[in-house]
Amino acid sequence: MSAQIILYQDSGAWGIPSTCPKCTALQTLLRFADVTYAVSPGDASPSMTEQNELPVLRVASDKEDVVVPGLESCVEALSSVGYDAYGGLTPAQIAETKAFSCLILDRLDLVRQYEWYLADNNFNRCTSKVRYQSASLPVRYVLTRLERHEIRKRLNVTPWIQRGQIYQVAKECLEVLSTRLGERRKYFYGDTPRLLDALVFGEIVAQLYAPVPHGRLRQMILEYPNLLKFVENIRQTYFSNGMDEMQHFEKNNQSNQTSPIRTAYEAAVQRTKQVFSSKKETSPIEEARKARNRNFIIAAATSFLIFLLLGNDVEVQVSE
Amino acid sequence: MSSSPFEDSSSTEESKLEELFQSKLKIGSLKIRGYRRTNPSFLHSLVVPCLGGENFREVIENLSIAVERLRELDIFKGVDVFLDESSVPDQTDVLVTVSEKGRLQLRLGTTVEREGFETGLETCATLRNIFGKAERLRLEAGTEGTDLGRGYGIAEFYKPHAFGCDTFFSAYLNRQYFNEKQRSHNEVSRGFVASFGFPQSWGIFSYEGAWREISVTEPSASSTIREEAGFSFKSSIKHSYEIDSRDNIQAPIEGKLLNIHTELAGLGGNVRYIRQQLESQLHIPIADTEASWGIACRLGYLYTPKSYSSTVLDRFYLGGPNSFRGFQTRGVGPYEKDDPLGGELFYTIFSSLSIPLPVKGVLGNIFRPKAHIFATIGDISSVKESQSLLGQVFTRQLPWKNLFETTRISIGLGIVADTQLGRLEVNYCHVLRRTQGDRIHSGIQFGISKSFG
Repeated sequence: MSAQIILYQDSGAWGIPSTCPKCTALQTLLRFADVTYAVSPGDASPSMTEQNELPVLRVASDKEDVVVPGLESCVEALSSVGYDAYGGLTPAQIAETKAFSCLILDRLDLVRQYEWYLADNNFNRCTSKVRYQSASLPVRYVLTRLERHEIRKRLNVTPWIQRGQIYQVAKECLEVLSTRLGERRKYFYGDTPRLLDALVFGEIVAQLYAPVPHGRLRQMILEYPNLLKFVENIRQTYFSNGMDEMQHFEKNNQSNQTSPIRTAYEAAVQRTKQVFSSKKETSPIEEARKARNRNFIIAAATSFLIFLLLGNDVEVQVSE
Repeated sequence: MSSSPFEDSSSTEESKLEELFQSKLKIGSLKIRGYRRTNPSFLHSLVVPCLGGENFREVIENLSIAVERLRELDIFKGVDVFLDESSVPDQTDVLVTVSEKGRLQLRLGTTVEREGFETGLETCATLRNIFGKAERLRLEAGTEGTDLGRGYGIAEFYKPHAFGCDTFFSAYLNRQYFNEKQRSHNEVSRGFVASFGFPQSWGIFSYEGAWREISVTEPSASSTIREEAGFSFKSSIKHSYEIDSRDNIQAPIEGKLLNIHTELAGLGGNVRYIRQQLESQLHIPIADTEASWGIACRLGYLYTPKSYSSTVLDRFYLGGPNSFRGFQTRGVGPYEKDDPLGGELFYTIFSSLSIPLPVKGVLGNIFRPKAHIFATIGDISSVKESQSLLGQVFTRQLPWKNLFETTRISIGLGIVADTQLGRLEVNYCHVLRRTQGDRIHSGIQFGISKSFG
């Protein structure tokens, strides 16, 4: 079996790859890199990483499974398949990319979480209906409420949210991104999309497509036509078959058939079987092991028989 | 042929005794004394059904059943039965005298997790006879196996004879955790179990609802554990049926055991499977001695529907002094990095020849030691990828050349002690056959269990 790249993420909804912007950003990067991958169905759990965060990539092969947890690690891992998320950028541009990443993930995304989880109307009518769709009712209800509780705890200790500057901060972030993109650029840095393009796409497409009843952030995004055009350009170029497509194939692949995703357990059992079938101990070692086994059996049986005969419990009588 | 005077007098006594046993006896009234907290109508309901019998022998046999029922309540220090002449002619009164135990019991001992065949250590505080009908409230904490990284806590309410004689009702909350430092993840389960027991007839029916979580804590976690991490809710019904005629649970000489445990998960929740375990034992004494040959067979099967998959919380594990001697705990089966993954299908056959050791005095009475020589054969696999015989039967493949390719075999000899704490074993084990990845424990292995096997 050739290596499979499997992405674990929050499941998609509303026609977008994932309800989590970081997961959408990673999917976008995989398409920028033209990598064949599959998405594990259902909602993955952040508990699968020690940092308690998604997305996670698993590279499954016959020899071993390699797991890459978290967006940063996944971005670094893409260099092994020939795609450099910072390729062609100057050191100043790389630093700028990292600064913008913090702006998006630590500011703009928190505003999104505030709108989706803390606003009761938005949560009850939109967010809670799409999270953990694959789980049954009691599990879905508990997990969405647990997730909301965790996000509320995190947002309650964020100073600018406490001060009520939520949408002011969002406006500043969008203004900065729009100014940096400019009116005529296709991507943030030249003609080739990079990490920042994926992050901005992931964040903005989530806001544009989520049908939240009170989406003030979406209204703000609509005031920046260059950002809308940027998102639409990436969608048409890299998600031409639809953004909720579960498997992405190489362009030259004539067939849409790939091997089904094997669970990690099945792969581990298969590897155990293959290792056992292929590895044979060398003759001298095998002979020595068999000799030890034989000697042990003889010694154990002999000592037990001697004990039986010397004791009074068993007597052997030879009939005349 | 002439008979001796002694034989004549003993046969005379026997015939007199037999005459006494056959004599007619009619029970008059029943009096029960010595209780303080226990409800008298509850005691009467246990004893009155046993007051039948046409002759003296039958009355004694029935009354012994009543005594056993009262002793099994575990609320009396002693139960004595007297037959006394009644004020009504030709009748006999029954007088039962009981002596109640204290309310609170503290205990340190061993326990066995029946489903996993692993024995652990436990501490337990029990509040007896709460409402006067032998109900008890038990708080228990312990380890699963001798490994301190796996433990549990239970708060249980137990009511005997809840639906008539020899039945019970039990409900408990439990919390289990698995958190070894050298492992890569935590497993926590919080649940509720309600059981209705008819042990003499239909077995024990239970419902379990459990909220479980697997969370990765170390970068070395395998991809299987990562994929199975997260929350799950198991809602299942179980049935357990047992027929046990062994003379001693821990060191049997004679008897048989049949235990069948079935679990159906999927009544709500996001866990769906059918899990079945079967155990049978046969013990045959050798001549008229206390030596015996015993064999214990175990079989387990976990079936999950197509769109579901099993997790490390539900699969079977083999290995350790109670399930497969010569291997580490959970050491048999597929491993990924340092994580045991378990199997969906397993079998073991354990055979032991044991003879008592001639140790006299206090040590002999306390430990009742025996020497035994044993052999274990078994296998564990996933159903889909199985190469074992049972896996091939279920998947309808029987290539004879692969029949025993992944079968494991271990042998050994050792000393067994039958104590109050449990069955203690000190064995020298040798693994004859294993597969790549199995964690063996050849050499000296200690074990403690609640039962043979």
